[in-house]
Amino acid sequence: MNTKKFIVSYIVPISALLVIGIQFLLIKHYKLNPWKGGGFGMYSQIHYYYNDLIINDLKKPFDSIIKQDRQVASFVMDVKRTPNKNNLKHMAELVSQYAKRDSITIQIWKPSVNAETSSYTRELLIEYQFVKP
Amino acid sequence: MKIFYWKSARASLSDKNMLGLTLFFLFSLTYVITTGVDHRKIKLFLFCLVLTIALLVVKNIKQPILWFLFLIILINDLICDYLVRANHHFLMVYMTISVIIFLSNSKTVDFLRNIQLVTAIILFFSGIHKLISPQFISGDFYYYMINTGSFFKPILYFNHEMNDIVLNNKNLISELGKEDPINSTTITLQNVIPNLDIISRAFAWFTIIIELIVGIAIVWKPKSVMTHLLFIMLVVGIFFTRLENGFLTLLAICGIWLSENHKITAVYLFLAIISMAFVITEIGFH
Repeated sequence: MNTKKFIVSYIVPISALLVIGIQFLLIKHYKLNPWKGGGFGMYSQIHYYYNDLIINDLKKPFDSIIKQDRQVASFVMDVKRTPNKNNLKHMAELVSQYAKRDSITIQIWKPSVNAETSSYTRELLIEYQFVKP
Repeated sequence: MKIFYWKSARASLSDKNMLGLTLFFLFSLTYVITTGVDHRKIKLFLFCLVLTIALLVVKNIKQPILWFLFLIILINDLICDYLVRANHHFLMVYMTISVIIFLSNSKTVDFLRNIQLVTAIILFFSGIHKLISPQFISGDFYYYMINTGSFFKPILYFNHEMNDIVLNNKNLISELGKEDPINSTTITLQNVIPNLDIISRAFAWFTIIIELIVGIAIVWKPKSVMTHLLFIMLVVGIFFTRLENGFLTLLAICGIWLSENHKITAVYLFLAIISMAFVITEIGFH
């Protein structure tokens, strides 16, 4: 089989497998949520939309900052989708201008459900401590 | 006066490649409109270009240029928001590339192999993702989705008792959301039906097994009626669980291309049309 024929015959499934492979790497090293990245991991866990982003030690409530700062607002979902240290640091830098103190703590909490005990609570997914330079 | 010409309907059903292609063209237009919010101007510009070229110049959706334009729109979305795009956006890219290759070399065998392998890969890996998710295999995910009314929504319109339980659960979760999570408050969800924990776990494993089996069956016996009946069961099952109609339309179109039985093709066609109508009316997800 020559190269052209091989490409024509298998380029599409190979691309699909490549994208899935990249998605698994992004999940492992970049903390990407399996819902995204083209690896078909939708409906394998509760959607990241329901994760909570908590920022402590802010001068004013986070909700009012989101209303005021479009950059922060659009970044919230990115952080929930890929809650890695880099994104948390970036988020901390964005909101640090609103913070009263020298350090702020960012946490991502995710819903935790137990069907056997019918319980619903939230568990800490990741925490990042930011100190103003 | 005749109100329906069966002869021409039968002819359309027998040319399944053209039938699937026409449906895919219609869905691609629908998808561009319904996802037109992001990068609206460039998308609608290309969309108008596609429609004008299709209607006035080429008058034939078998022209690769139309599909190249769709591909540009889809790839543009991937470049701008790779990590935001839905999984079936990727499936659309694979299907569009397959169509372009098919229209360039007219080899049905290559086209069907591409569609067959891509369909199998997505179903198989969808099953794998669920299999490696502790929240899924324990049944906790389905338990949460059912008790909060995210699944089997139409039932809630008819069963007020269940609807009240769902609303109560959602209120409890919403109240908890206002608290600082550091308090580690736990709430108790009320079950919409008895023994939901066991049902959720069984349903979760059933989903994984069906997805893996259909994925393997499409590679192993793509022409078998049994494979297609299972695939149809999966599509209908997803339809009744959650209105993911964009994804379902694409699966049904793939089904049309892969099936060799007129009756099965008619079932896929019916599912594709219904799903697409749900997307256009925004009753279902695009």
